[in-house]
Amino acid sequence: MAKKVLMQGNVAAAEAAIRAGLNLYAGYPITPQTTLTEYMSWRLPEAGGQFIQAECEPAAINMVLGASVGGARALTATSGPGFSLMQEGISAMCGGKLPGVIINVMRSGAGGGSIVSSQADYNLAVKSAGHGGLRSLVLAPYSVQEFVDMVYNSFDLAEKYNNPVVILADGMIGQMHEPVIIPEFKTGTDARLKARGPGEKGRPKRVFKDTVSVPALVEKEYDAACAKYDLWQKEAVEYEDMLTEDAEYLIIAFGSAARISSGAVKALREEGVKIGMVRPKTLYPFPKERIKAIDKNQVKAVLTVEMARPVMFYDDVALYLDRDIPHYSCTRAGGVIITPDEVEEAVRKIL
Amino acid sequence: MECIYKKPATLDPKGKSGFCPGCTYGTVVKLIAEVVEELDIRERTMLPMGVGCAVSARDWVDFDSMMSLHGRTTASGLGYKRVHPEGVTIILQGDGDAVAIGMAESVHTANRGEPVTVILVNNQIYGRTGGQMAPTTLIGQKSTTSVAGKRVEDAGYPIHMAELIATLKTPRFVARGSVHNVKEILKTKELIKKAVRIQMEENAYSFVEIVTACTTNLGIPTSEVPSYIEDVVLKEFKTGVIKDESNLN
Repeated sequence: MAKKVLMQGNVAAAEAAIRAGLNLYAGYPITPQTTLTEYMSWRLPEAGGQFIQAECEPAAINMVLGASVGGARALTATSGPGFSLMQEGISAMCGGKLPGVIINVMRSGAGGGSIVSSQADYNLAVKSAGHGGLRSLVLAPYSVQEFVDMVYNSFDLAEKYNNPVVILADGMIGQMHEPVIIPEFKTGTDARLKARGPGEKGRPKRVFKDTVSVPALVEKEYDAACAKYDLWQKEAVEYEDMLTEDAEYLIIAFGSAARISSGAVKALREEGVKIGMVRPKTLYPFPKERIKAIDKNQVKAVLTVEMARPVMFYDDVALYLDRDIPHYSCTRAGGVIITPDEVEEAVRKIL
Repeated sequence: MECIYKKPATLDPKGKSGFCPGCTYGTVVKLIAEVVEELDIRERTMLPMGVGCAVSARDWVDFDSMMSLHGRTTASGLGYKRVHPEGVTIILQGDGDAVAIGMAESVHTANRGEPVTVILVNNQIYGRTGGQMAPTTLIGQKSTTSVAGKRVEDAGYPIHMAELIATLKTPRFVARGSVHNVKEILKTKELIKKAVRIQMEENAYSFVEIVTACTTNLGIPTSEVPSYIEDVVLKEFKTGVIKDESNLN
């Protein structure tokens, strides 16, 4: 049996990416992501991959784009401001149907903001991959182990759907140390890379385009993208239910907010409050069928917990939640980390 | 009868040049295609093209190519090269792409010595968007964003990209050519060929700037463009090898 080791989230995620067959990492230092880039700088070359400390985030995402054109497994990691700077590249990867993985170790605040954890990049990650309105597949880990597992599987997912995958972690998940099981090295991950290299004499040319220019053809591209997103809704949605079977009250939260809320759920259960939690692991595709299935005859109220103001995640839950169920919100913002006590207090108010 | 000139097989017979009539950008693309054919690297070559007139080469060349985002052509091109080191990456950029929006990528790609060849086509203007001022626009030159002529007080002097790249220690080969007459076309082809060979044989970075002019937006008859390049543009951007630290002949 694999042994558990104590590792920092960022470092564990980096090792997981390498074991998933990573060929190229390009990144730019930014707190709280930096330890991932530091680890990659020596560990990836040791494992046979290419590490580039890029001159800026737009360069980093475009290095990933170019490597992906070449069929490589490519990754970048950043945080808030850097994620903003990468939007154009992510848009081009969606348009060009390129796989690739982008980790956003979210920090707080607008502009330079601050280096403390938040969930304020939810809309930026989920609603549109940069300009043009295409979508990334967005995953949100709530523990170091889940961060590892999501990164490890993200390349297969990206290649399956020919689409970038965004892993929306945050400063807490990235900086926290937890015992984790690091998976084995994947094998046979380089078929795509080999198929897109120089190749045999006289082969047809390959042309990479991130867009076509005739509106009617662009519209067809959008229709194909919509069909892909519908497929995700059918087969890629992931979420976790915690003590929901008999729950009369539900917390809905993702990532760190869900991790913190799980403490409140346990404490309230000990007091006999019938409370549970639904935790989306995929933010896009959003688990809308799960939210729609919340039964007003069983659930008296729903509390959405997130570290963002104004709310973002709440709006998506509200879109699919039965309107007869009272829906409340519990938030902190700006890098103020929500506490289990605050969540507990918010639940007590709606009991 | 002996064949003394033919279209290179590395230009797609079904493809067509997307360049404006009279523009010599197409000559640059043809020279690249000839070099690819002569070095027998068709299957190994990747041509990342910057946003602007460069993308007009896309459907014309008969080897791999990729569109890039504006200014990020070297970044995406080197990303490809890093994962296919046996490939030959020839990056085709305009002056807006390489000197304005992509200056950081241009300088750092050169400074890291990424084993790619950058072909910068300097036409002193934003051609694709209809003739706006570029960092290479000459002082006094009129454009749609410098209608009274470019002034130093507003926009500074033209940036000499080849000389700027040559100040870095890492680049192995830096040169500037022109394609306004047959003699210069032949010289420029040799510059491109050497630059590509340096990438292949020395695994080093090389840079060739090629002076052209935008016949569509310049506002003078196309027939006068070659003499305009000779008499005006090349006085500002001097041709020749600026730096050569390669071991090739």
